[in-house]
Amino acid sequence: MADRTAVPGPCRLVCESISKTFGGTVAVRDVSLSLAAGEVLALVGENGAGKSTLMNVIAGAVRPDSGQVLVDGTRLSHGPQAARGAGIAMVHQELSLFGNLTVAENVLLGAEPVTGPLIGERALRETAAKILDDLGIHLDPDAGVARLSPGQRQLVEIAKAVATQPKVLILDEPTSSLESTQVDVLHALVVRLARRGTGIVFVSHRMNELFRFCTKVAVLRGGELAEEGDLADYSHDRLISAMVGRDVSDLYPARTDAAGRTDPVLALREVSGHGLHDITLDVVPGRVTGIAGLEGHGQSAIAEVLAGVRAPTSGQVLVAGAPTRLNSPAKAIAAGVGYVPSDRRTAGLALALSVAENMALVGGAGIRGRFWFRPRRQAAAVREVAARLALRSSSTGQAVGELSGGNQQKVLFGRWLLRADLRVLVLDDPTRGVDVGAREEIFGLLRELTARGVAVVLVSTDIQELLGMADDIVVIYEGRITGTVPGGDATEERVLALAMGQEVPA
Amino acid sequence: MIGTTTRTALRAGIPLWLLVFIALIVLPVLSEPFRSANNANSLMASLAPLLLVSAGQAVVVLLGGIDLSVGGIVGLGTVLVATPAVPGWVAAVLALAVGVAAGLVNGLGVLAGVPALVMTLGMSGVLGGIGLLVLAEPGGQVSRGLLAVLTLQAYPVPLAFVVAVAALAVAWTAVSWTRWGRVVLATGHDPVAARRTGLPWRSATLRAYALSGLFSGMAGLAVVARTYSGDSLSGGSLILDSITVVLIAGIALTGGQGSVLTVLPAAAVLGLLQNLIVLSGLDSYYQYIVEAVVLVIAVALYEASGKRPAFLARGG
Repeated sequence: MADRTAVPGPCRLVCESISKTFGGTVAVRDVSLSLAAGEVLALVGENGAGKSTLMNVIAGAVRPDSGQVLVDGTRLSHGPQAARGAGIAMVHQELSLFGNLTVAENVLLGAEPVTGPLIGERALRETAAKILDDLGIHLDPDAGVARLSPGQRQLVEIAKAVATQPKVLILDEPTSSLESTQVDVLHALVVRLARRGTGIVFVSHRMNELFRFCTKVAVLRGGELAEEGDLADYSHDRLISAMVGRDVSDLYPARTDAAGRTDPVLALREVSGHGLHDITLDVVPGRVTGIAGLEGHGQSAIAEVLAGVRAPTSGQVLVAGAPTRLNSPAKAIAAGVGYVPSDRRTAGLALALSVAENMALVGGAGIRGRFWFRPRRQAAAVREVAARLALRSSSTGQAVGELSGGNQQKVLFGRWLLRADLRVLVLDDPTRGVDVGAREEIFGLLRELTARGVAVVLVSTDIQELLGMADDIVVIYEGRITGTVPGGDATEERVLALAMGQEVPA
Repeated sequence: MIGTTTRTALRAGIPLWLLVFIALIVLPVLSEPFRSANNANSLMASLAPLLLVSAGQAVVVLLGGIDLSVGGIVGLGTVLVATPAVPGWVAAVLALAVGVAAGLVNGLGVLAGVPALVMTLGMSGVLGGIGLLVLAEPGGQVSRGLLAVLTLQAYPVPLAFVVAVAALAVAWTAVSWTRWGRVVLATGHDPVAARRTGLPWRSATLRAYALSGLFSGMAGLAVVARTYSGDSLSGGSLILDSITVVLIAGIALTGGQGSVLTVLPAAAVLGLLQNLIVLSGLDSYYQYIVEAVVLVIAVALYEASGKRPAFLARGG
């Protein structure tokens, strides 16, 4: 529970009828909000509901068409620097750490202790160490940020925001790359800041965390403020209904029993390397093979080996029973293996190119043309898939970088739907930063694929997702398989226990 | 105390320092003409403009930009100083002011969204053209008083060389130990994130280009100290030479990675090569071939040693 006993103080943050239109699309319409000192506000909504725009307006990164933002009663002028000066700190979902600098340098960037013009390196390191200690974050201040895990980077990013002693702290999906112990650290930190009177805006797609961290809730739908109130008055179901605007019975489609064919289409035999040890794994057509594990335990490496991004140092990869050297993504694609990487912005998409270009990238001669590029054939194929995905974009010619996270993920999906010869689809954390509605659609598509006989490998740090989707859950701990649990009768406790390296009697 | 990032950046330069030290010990033993005080004097005098321009170039490259206007600024500087119509001291100050002003305009153009490559290339053309309009043929006349100051030396060490090393040290200190320097490194690494975080990247950009302009203006004076004359085209070779030095120093063209101090041994390697080719009596055109080969080998070695991330590094 967050600090619900705090007496609501004066309004830290007030948004007065904020509106913002991009091109022809209304992103935010006439939204008014207030946040008292010590309150933790859950800002929720589907992708494209206007959360990001509203947060960016508050943080000064986007200038609203009308309306204003007040901090402690003072009107905010435009610009990130003005917002920062007024006491607003934002932790973006896309991290803004600098990999060429150390942890300490990042935490105190722009606010380094100086004597005259010169930075005091010792003071810098000590101040940063103290801030990290205070927050319960155990990291070497001298460590290079480029070498940290995503979860550790997220914590550094949060420490950087807290170091400015903000009056208003905006956390955008702060837990998406955190392990459960790191989430505990964050929770303790949020409670402490709220007690000190910081107003906190918390954005997350994880229900449990919203209820754990927040005291108030504001629901955005289609750019407008749909509901707001005390979070205590809401149940999980009511909150999801409020976001979607309709009743949601079950996020996960029913399992269909397609266990008729059992010959694995893709298999690993005692594969080691890249942090993996003796991984033996069968990927069977028509089934969703879930791979569970806490962040950084090697599950992404398995996805990369299956997709040909990395070749194992020992062991075999079998394609339809035959040992194959899958040492490049091109070979994997030729073998019918598609891959949706976890970091879609840097590893999956060409952000500057259009939706159509991104989708057709691996579409093959049938779609792009054998020698001459066939724009009409490509456009027709892409339009069909875009419609099936319920892709929200102004046209298939729109640049992918302009889409929301969930829609970017759909484009990556669409890429493989365009390939008729797809036999295996490997997905690494496909729903990170994707809202409930789009999740539901993605899960539906995965079931459609398995019904077609495609084998799906789903790597995820979200155990709920694996419980809902996977036919088998393979659990990884420190690069080894600690157990395989049938999806139907798996429990969160059992998977978590295996993922934390505990021996569990079958 | 030296911070971790600064130390890491310096470590990449250790092989270069060793190379220069070994060369400075071995070459005088092997070569009679190299040993002479005259040669040392001429080597240092020729290094002064290269050091100045390269130090400024390094700062701009660390910011993620590039400055092709250095040659134009140097050339116009020499022309201004060699114009008899302007009194010597005024001309010298004017040369520096033109450098700073050109740098500021470069910075403003880059902030307005013109790619650095285009902006500074345009500036180079404008300045070079003005220089040629003022003084079409190399020559002119440098005031005697000014020349006496520019060529001051504690034989065999020329004043220009000392000033160049000092300027480089100032630039290194500023990049490594001021808030401005951190913003330069951050912006060079990820300009979008720097903007989003609310760092003062605009003023940092202006200052970086202004610094490069100022150093180029100073380099113009250092060139006059060697040639005693004005020539609008005299800075041309410094454009590519300064980029070569920056690359040999292990500073990534993608920005954010490297140390300004390493420019010193990198420029020395280039200066020594040129010096050796002259002393050995080879055709001076060989210097282009040798420099190019050294550049490619140096960059290949950096990539292989992983001392800085490859151009296609994942994440980070």
